Amino acid sequence: MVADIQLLQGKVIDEPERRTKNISSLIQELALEILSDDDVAVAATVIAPVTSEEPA
Amino acid sequence: MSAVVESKPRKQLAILVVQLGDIEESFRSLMALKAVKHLYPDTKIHIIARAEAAAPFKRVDWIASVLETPRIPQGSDSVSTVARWIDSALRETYDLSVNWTWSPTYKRMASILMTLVPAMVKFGDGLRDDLTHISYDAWSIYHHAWANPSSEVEQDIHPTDIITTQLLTALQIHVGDPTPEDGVSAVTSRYFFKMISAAAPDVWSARPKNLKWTAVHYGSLGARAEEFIEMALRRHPDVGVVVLNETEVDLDIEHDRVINLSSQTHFDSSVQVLSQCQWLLAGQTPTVDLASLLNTRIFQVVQGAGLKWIEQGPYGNTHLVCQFDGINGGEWEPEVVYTVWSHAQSEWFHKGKVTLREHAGNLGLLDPVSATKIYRSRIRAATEGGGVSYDPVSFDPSQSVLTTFDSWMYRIRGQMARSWFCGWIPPVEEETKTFKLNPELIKRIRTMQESLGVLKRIVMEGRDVAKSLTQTSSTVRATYLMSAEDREQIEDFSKKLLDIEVLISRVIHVEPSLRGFLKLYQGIINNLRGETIPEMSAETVHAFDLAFEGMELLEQYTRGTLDLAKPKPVAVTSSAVAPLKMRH
Repeated sequence: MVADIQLLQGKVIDEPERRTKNISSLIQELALEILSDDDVAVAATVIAPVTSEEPA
Repeated sequence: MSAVVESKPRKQLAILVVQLGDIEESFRSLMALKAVKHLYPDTKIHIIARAEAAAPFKRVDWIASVLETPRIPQGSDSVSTVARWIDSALRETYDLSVNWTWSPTYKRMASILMTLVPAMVKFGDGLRDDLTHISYDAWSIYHHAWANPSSEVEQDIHPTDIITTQLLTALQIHVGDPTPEDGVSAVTSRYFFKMISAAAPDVWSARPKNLKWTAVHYGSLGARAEEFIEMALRRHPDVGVVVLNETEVDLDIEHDRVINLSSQTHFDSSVQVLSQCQWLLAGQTPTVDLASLLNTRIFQVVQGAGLKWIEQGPYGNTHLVCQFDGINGGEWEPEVVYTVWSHAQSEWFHKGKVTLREHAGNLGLLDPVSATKIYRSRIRAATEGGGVSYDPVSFDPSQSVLTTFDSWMYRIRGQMARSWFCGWIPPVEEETKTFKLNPELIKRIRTMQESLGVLKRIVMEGRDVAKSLTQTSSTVRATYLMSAEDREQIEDFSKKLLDIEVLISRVIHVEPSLRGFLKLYQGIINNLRGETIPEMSAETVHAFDLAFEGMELLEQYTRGTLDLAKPKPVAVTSSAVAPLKMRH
């Protein structure tokens, strides 16, 4: 078998102007995701110090 | 295809790795990136990680930059904070970006980031223009279809090997063959993190240095860990035990060779302690991935049935895994673990002359140990497919390890992926000779073979339908302008394709071990890149081709294994045909 280059090559961006659609809605959603992660992160540092740079 | 990258060769190729997952994913990413950095020393690797999982990236000197996700102060404008943060991510121009965030919790966040940050070539998951998820490449599709904890498919490629191969293949396609740097090629080492600054707890620094230390991760093992510790201390005066845990643990054991560091370690001190230990005994915990990087020998305890544990197994050579999947409802037994650990612990002394069976017999634990599945890890040679593998340890060297149907299938699934995506042809004939046959396995393979034959025929039919759809739709100028006849024909082909998927599902219902083919087919179909009917149907043909190639390989293994089970003529010798004495 030959390696499946078609599927392995990833997404090649040929048209730079198409890179950035929906920027504002994406940033809004990202902000929401990060905000909700902040709550999880507070809990995570308490239960999993190996992940943090400070002792629990 | 890669003209943009190739026409402007860069001295240093900039790679962005988006790793917003849990800490174990950070450790696996580092393992993969170290291998990539060795083969492509000119690459500049940039990381975006969550603050809680960024520490490991900041402790190595070969990562160009680490950008942490922002903290959003309460009451502040979160959108402008994130917009400014994105700007800082855009200061670099990336040739290649890859999303290695597999944790379902952070999948969406990482996909948004992948979509927002430009790069010439992208790998992993991102978002389409309609904000639905898309996997950009084969290995990401493979991960979703087969290699994740929620997938019902068991396969034998470790996540670390998947991401390493994904990035190395990407570089080979878009940049060219690697030029490895001279010298050290070992990825794992106790000195992996060179930029550790914080000190280890005083009690650890003051430990007796003449002891061989075993770290025990309490939380992943439960209270029975203390039974193991007691046995180890009683029988091994040269062994000390350090207890690690995220929260404080009150140990019942009080012993001058036990150090309780529960709730006292952070990333730097965990690295220092683990790198100075001979062993880590743990269940499933990120500490296993950290110990893998530090080349500390791991003894992992797996509770429960199935082979999915390999996707969280220890990476490297000579690690041991004890799987408890039967007696006591899969709960681990400290005395069994102690027996296997102590046998391995004294390997250098007995040099294999004392078998595990003899060792267990000496301890009076023959029955429980023989009922446990034991595996030993090793990095396979490239000729065998490469990557980490877990070989079943024969409890008794005079008896072969029986191959079960599940383990037979999971091995072959991995080989399918290697042949699809690495262009590597497994030596089917040599490999089948190593399988340990038994009547149950042969019977099960024969049952599967019948369903495989049916599935192959359905897939071939699907391919023909998809091909006809491509041909018919190619003749149509535009989807909004076609004859009623063409429209009817296209609709008819599309309906047939749906019917074929239903038929495939029915076969899978009868033979669930073939589910992987349906999952992979659906994975490709859900990630079609084409925007027109001819483009999408051509990709559908390709999906059927891929499934068919995998089935052909499975059939080769099936034939090879069943051939071994056929009775063979025995060479006739003169003594074997000695004439019978005549009776008078």
